[in-house]
Amino acid sequence: MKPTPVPTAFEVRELFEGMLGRAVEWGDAKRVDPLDGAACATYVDDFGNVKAIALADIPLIARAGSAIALMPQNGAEAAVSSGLVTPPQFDNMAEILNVAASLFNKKDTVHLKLQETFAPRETLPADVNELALQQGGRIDGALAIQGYGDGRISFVVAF
Amino acid sequence: MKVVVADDSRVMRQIVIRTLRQAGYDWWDIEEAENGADALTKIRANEPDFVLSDWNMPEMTGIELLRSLRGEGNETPFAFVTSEGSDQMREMAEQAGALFLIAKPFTADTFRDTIDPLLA
Repeated sequence: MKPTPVPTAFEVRELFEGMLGRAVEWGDAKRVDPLDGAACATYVDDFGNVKAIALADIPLIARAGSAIALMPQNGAEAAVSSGLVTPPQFDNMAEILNVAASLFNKKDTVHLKLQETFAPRETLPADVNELALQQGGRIDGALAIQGYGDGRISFVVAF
Repeated sequence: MKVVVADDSRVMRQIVIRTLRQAGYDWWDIEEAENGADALTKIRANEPDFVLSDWNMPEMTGIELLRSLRGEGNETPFAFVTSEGSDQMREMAEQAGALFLIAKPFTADTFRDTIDPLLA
């Protein structure tokens, strides 16, 4: 078995384009910090060990979570300016992060699946927090969603 | 053609239906079900020509739905669209009598390439 791969920018962009049904561009951005408020998805192996996480910042939850359900863009902007995402926006982002488990699963790697998705400002388990701050084994970037604007995402794979 | 799409996520049902339309199946008459139990009721009542179901759902999972249908002698063509597509799941799906299993994320091309040969 090979180690779990860090998803590529191309794969992440393709995932969002496919799920949102609209053009998405990838750009460089600093990593998502859970302290600023972020959705955090944990991915576990068959023994329940957390092997990878995904972090989506509030603008991405608001914008991707709205775009996927064709909800009005002004609702997304209201969430971005208040820093508070709506339950449907979060649920929709959680659905995207569920499907994102596919980014870690290749033919010859350990099988990972979504374990849990934490809402922004929810307390994260210590090991998840640690992984969020890990320097290597990660990809951080911004996704610009056509018609909705951009937000940041980070994927981190445990060593 | 009457089709039932079962998924506990409303947004995922929308994505499946949107992708089916993009793949050229805009003539399908699609009914939505929010879990396996809901789908079972709708399949019994409306006798669709095809069922496209998620695997992990509350109340009744996709594989339980398929086994219930086959158990009562219902041979409606059935396929899975799931967020997990491991070899083990594919094997289980096939043994239970599913036509195919498409893993999320999927594209209109994936749908067309998989479904078209079955419709011919």
